[in-house]
Amino acid sequence: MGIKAIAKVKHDIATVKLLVKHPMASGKIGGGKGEAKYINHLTVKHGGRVVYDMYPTSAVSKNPYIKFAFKGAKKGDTITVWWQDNTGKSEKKDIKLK
Amino acid sequence: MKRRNFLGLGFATMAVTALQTVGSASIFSQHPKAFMATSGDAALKDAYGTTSVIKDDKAKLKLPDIAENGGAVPVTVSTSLDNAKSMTLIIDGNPHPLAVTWELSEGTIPKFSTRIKMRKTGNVRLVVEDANGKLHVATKQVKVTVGGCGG
Repeated sequence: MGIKAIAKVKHDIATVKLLVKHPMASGKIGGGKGEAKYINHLTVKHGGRVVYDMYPTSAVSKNPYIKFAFKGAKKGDTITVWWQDNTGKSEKKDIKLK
Repeated sequence: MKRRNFLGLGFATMAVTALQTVGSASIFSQHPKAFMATSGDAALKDAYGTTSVIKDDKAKLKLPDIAENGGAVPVTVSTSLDNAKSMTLIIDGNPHPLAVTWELSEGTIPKFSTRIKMRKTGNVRLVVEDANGKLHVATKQVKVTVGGCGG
């Protein structure tokens, strides 16, 4: 597990790029004998409001790459990335906007 | 704390809880069946209650013409509609075509990039739900050289 992020602000718009370490396994490898393990909800919050709300499936590639932007941000603000997978595992990380 | 005040607090909490529940309503929580559907149209019907869509340029889908590696196909989805409610990506050639849904909120710029897995050559559809619940769709065919649904 692990979340890598680049988050930059320009003219009150924050552009966020995330790389989340996760197998995103469909459980269909080798004739469907593997275990399904994939992120099914990922959110990013900025000061309590949700600025990114994604519901992935195992059709999202291994170690998901995500890019998005939102308005109303300042340099030095903190965003909170959170995800949960279908097995109930989750991770949360605070990232400072540069 | 006086009993009356305490009751009032209880009702206030209930009201807040109710609001939060409404706020977090999503296709995932309300129509989980859509994610298990085995055809693109069934996924669309389960998620939005209809398969009737408007083909216009309000939904925008950026994908390569040919994907050498079906395990990681770069995709960018966006919409020019104001106050759109959600976006859903459907990969018709996959065992479970519903690949991703995004719930949109105020302040979010509705333009997202990620990477997707495609089992075989086929159509990818982006469905954008506008403020009135109408569906706008963009379709793009992608040729897949090596399929990528293992893993």
